[in-house]
Amino acid sequence: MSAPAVFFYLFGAAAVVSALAMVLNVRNTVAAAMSLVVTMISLAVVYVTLEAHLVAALQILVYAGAIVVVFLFVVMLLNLRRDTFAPSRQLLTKGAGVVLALGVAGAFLQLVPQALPTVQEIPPDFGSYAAVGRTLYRDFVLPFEVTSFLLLAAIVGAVVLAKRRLD
Amino acid sequence: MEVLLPVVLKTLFIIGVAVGAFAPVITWIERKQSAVMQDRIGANRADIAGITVLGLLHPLADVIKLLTKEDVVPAGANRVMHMLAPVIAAVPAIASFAVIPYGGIYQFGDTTVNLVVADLDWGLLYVFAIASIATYGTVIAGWASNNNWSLLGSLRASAQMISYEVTMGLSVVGVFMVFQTLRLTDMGVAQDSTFRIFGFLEHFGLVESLGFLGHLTLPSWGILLQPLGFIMFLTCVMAENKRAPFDLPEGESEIIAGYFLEYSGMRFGLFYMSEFIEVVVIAALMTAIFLGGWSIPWLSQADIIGGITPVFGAGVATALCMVLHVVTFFVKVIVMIWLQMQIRWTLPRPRYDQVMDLCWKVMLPLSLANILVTGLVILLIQGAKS
Amino acid sequence: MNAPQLDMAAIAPLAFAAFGALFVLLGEVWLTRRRTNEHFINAALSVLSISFLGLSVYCAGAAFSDGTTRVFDPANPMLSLDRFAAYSIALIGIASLLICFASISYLPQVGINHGEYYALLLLSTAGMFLLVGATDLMALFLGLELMSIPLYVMAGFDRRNLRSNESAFKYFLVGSFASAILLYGIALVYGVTGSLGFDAIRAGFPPGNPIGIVGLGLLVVGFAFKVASAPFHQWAPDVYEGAPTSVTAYMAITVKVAAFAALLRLLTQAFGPVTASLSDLFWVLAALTIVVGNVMAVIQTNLKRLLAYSSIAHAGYLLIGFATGTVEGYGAVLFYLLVYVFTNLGAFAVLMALAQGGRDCDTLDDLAGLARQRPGLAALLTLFALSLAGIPGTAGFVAKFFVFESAVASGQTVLAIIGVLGSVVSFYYYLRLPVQMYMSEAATETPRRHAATGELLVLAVCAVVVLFLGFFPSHAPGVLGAVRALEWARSSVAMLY
Repeated sequence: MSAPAVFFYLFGAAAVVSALAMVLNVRNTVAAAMSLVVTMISLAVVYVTLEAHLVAALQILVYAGAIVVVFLFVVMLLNLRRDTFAPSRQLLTKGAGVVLALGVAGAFLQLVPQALPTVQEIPPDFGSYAAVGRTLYRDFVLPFEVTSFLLLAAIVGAVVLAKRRLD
Repeated sequence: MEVLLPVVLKTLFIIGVAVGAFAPVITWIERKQSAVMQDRIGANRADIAGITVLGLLHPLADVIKLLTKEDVVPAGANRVMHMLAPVIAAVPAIASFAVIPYGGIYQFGDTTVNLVVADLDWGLLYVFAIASIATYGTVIAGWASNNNWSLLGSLRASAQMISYEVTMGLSVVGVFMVFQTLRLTDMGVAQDSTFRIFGFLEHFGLVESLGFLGHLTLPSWGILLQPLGFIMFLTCVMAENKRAPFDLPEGESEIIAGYFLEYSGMRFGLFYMSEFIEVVVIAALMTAIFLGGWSIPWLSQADIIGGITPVFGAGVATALCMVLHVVTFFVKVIVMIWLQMQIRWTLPRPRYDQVMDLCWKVMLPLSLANILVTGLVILLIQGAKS
Repeated sequence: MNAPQLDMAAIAPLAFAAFGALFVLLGEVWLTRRRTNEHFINAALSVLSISFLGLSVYCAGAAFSDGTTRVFDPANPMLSLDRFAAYSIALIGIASLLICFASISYLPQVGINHGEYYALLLLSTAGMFLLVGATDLMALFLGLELMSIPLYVMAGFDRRNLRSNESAFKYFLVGSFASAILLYGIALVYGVTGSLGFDAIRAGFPPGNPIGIVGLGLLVVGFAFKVASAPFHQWAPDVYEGAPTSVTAYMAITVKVAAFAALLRLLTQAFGPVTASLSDLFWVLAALTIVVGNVMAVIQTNLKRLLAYSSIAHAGYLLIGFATGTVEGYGAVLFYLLVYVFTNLGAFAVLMALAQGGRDCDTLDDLAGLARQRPGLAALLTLFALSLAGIPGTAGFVAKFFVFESAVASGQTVLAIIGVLGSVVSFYYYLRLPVQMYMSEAATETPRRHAATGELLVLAVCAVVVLFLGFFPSHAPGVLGAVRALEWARSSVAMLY
């Protein structure tokens, strides 16, 4: 097995394990959030092994570096201690969750072979910031610009709802 | 093995120099510097059999003291997280050195020597990504200590670091645009040249009328092409490092020591060291992006090797050039460290809201304006050429 | 490295609305620095928004009469301005524009005249413009989100009002849930077709694949949430009740047009070959929605809740058109949306004109004795209630007639009968409004404010459209009338095939 493949499986497994750790850890929210960070970083490594370097950098920069920090921020401010979140004892909820998860897993197991019928040759500059930039600003310029307006709407909305005084 | 050996050697070299030599010495420099600024003598007492070496033994004494001190974990603290936090803070600082080139690309016969551990296409993004991980060290340290002052400190730290990360990224976009690359090695190569100060007048046919002024050149360093970017980037990375004047997260007068209040012994030492390692990282990064990296002004690599090859032969000349470049790089790093020390001991600490205002209301608009102006100028130059 | 060939005319309506929002945001800052008169600022920003929306509507109108299809980026088609999009954009644009007119005096009355209102309204409208023109699931989703996120905020715009907060929060939660369902549907469709573009999905959608069917079903459910169709309607009454009346009007009217138009395009352009298999699903949704909407409306005493259930019932009538799956049915849907916009907008505009002193007019008791104090408004509200009920002589009757006719023509007779029975039930609760206004004594003799110019304009436009379409279902060629409008709607739908 080549070195990238080894890292791929190693960090793929790490991503799954830490994701499970996040979901199953209902007592300590900070530890759960930190597990999420581990998931994000493992995913970034997986992206690197798949030659998607820019996505890997952004994965760490945006998700691990900014979004989860804000999660932690909120969790720390709420100061939820161990007893605040009693584990859910409702069997129905748990059972439904398990059934849904299995259903999703089944769907994916059937979907993935269909969606990826052939192994494709990737272009030499695949995953570089230049290639991603070209795709983003040329092929997907409309969604890109619309997304910026979407973010603007969210920012204006947050200010409207949260600002102390509007005048 | 042939692949791994050079990487290991390069890693050992840069870590050895930066972490092993620079970081301890600058703790001493910092004390001496502050002493000079405050009209004191400074650290000069630690001695071995009466020999003090100007106080240079203090770092050694510090390490021995920190290693032998009791390591206290406060009651009610989260033990695992408390232990993990200093490591999370220190590792990213060290890992940043992986992409910083401390020398150029040299050709010895068939083998190419590239003085950087990992020559990544997205080098600068890697540094930003790694730097953003460092936030967790402070956040977790503050939370796991079970102390309100610590928590306040870590909240301040995370807000400050996230805010300045945005501007830090935007302030160097101008540099990307000028050098057309994110690879730090390419930036170094691009800066190993000169440009004519009044070269832009050529398109109007005015250069000849300037006489000798028309031939004046400057090294095409980032600091000269992107002066505003240099100032903003320096400010942002210093804010990221949480050192004065941006040391609000540990503001003694308000929250005692902030996020590492409940740390003692070598774990405190790790926080302390990671701060100094980051000083070196900042200096090295600033050098690579803005101060021409390893290059010697007005003397390109080709000029040097071409000039001394008749004397020593190609192999030795290249090796000499390499040594010269590495020395130049570290001299520049030392200058940048000195600059940071000066700033640290000159400026007072602002209020927290002022720090945030500076980021969001001054630097962010300025960095966006810088991008716009840079883009316009590049378009104009390209238009004039075609 | 060739620059892509972009047709800017295709995004003109979208761009005018979106950039209008930027101008409104900047304009507010600029004006507040210079003028202290809040009413002036409010009016100025409203006029600014109206002019930008007017430009959008003008572009859409030109594209509609032109009849050609303009694609923004032919190499990567995501958004097109065709006859169908132009029809929907014009409808949404006119509705938003009229709501801006009515807001000039409404916002100060309830004390929420902040400039961000218009910016959010414009952004949401831009999202709708994208939604109805989207020919790619990615653009569709972005349009849906750009439409929804400002709406969540607008629902909570009256920040001191707990009900408004509740409204915003509920809408946000349910809306995010609906978006997630829709997104999952998109993911499954992408999984089986390997593409997001409508044309590619049409070509590559395997008819028998269960995962593809589930994906399509999830897409429909996501839209059913957005249009408040039963059984995904429970959020609507609470949200409509709590939001400021102008926002309720905006949500009830434009969102429905945009979501139904987008669903229509999705079902014809992307899933044309398999839409017939969804007929039963729409049958059940339509029947359920008609029954639930009409029955629940009977017991309401709050006007906004009543109108919420009424709008659910109308969603049911619209779904009848989807159950037919024919061009006639879809054409009837588009025409119904036209009538729905003006009738509902008229009814809401009366309520907005009655808001006073920080209070909405939102219960049946508030209407008591209105005929004596404000006979004009009472008459207009009666007209709009009759049109909502579908009394002959009003536009509402013509619209329902076309929908039921198309249902019968395609063999959905039972569904048409359910629709007619639902309409009969609806007479009861719509007629409670005139009864309350003409036959009850006002509890107090408080003077009511006179409607402002903007509100009068909106009322006049709506009343004229409702009466005109109701009285002139002209068959004569070249004469404007309901049949002519129906032909426009049909031709818009026909070009999707």
